Amino acid sequence: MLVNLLASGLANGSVYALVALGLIVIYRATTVINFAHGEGFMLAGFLAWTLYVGLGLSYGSALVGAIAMAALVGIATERLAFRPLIRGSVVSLVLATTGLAFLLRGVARYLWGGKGSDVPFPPVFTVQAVRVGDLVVSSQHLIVVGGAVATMLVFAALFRCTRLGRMMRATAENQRAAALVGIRVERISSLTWGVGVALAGVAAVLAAPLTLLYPDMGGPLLIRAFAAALLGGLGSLGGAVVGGFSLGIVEQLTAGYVDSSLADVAPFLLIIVVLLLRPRGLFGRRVVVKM
Amino acid sequence: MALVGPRVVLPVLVAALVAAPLWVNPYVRFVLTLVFVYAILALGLNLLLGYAGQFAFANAALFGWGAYTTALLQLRAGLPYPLALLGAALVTAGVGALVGLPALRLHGLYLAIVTLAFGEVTYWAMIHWGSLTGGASGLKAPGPSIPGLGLGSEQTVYYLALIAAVLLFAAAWASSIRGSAAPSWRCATARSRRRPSPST
Repeated sequence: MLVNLLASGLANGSVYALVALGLIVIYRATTVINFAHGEGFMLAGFLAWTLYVGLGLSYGSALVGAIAMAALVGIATERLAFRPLIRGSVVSLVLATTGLAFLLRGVARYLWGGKGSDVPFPPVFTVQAVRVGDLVVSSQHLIVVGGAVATMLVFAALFRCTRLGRMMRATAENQRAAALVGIRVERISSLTWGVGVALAGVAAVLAAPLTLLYPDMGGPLLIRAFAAALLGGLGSLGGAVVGGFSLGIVEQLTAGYVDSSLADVAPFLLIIVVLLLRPRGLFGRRVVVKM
Repeated sequence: MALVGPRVVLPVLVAALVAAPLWVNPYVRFVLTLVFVYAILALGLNLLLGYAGQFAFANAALFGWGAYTTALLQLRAGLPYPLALLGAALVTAGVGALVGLPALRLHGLYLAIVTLAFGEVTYWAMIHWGSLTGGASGLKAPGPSIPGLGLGSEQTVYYLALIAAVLLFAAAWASSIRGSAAPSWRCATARSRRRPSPST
C-alpha cells in the first residue's frame, strides 16, 4: 500500500510542483502572487478537453493548444491586472488578479458549463499497469510524474542556458539595469507571465485524466500551489518543486493511514505548523524590504 | 452644507432602511438583511486589509465560527438568543485573537496562506464534524424574538442587523479611522504595503 500511496502522492505532487514553479517564476520577477494562476490551469484543461474529446484531434495538438491557452491567460493577466497597477500596493495587485480569476471562472462556466456537473477526461494511453517485482504502479501516475519532471528539466534549461532565460533572470534581478543593457523589459515581463502560466497549462493536460474538469477547480489548486511555494520558501524555484512533491505525498499518506477525508486539510495543517516554527519556509532566505 | 453630502445622504438612507420592512416584500427584506450582514463583514475586512494592510483572509471562517456558535449555544446549551449572540461574539473574538497571533511573526503572503489554511481547516471541520455541526445539511437555529414588539423573527433579524451595521460602522469610524488609534493603523499599513525587492 505504501508504494501505491507514494505513487499517487508523487503524481499529485508533480502537478502542485509545476503550478507552484510557474507561480514562483512570476513572483521572482514581480514580487506578486498571481491569484488568477489556477484559472490558467482550468482554462488550459478545458481547451485540451475540447480539442481532444470534443473535436477528436490528437493528444499532441491538445497539449500545444492548452499550453498556448495558458500562456495567453498569463500574458493577458500581466496586461490587464499587473502593468496598469505596477506602482500600486500589494493589496491592489492581489485583488486585481483575484478579480480576473473570478471573471475567467465566469467565462469558463459560460463556455463549458452545463455539460453535466463535471467533465471527465479519458486516459491518454491505455497502458497496462507497470509491474516491478511485487509492486504494481498505475501507468497514468508514471506518465504524470515523467511528463512533469521532463517539463521541469526543459524549463530549467530554458531559464539557465538560453538567451531568453538569461534576459528573464536579469529583468527579475534588476529591471533598471536590464533596461540599461538594452533588454526590452516590458516584453520580457509579458513573456515571464506567459511562461509561468504555461507551466500550469502543461500541469493541467497531465493531470486531466486523473481528475475531473470543472470551472471552480482553479481556486483549491492555487491554494495548494501557493502553500507548496511557501513551504519551500517563497522565491526559491527548487523549494517550490520540493514543496509541491511534499504536499502531494503528505496528502496521500494522510488519506491512506489516517482518514481519507482528512487528506484535504492535511497540507494546510502542515503549512500552519511549518510556518509557525519556521516563518521563512524550508529553503527561504530572509526577505529584504525596500525602505 | 452640500445637498448630496454624506451628512444628508446617510440619515436619509438610514431612515429609508428603517421604514423599508413596511413596504418591501419578504424577499427584498431578506436580501437587505444580507446586505447589512455583508457590510459588517466587509467593514471588518477593510480594517484589517485596507487600514492595517494585513493579508488576513480568515474573516469568512470567523463568520462561520460566529454563526455556528450562535446556533449551538441555543440548541445545545439552551441559551436565549441575546446571550447566544453575546457568547458567539466573545468566542469568535477569542478565536480571532488566536488566529491573529501568527501575524506577530508572519508578514505579507506568509500570513495570507496561514489564514487561508485556517479557513480551509474550519470549513473541513464544519462539514465533517457532523455530530456537532450537522455536516453538509447544517443546523436550523431558532430565530430571535423580542417580547412586546410584535415583530416576526425575520423582521427582528432585519432590525438587529441594521442597528449592528450602523453602530459598528460608527465605532470603527470613531476609533480606527478618525480616532486616537488612527496613527498606529496608518503606521502598520505603511510598513506592510511596501513590496519586498524582487529576488534578493
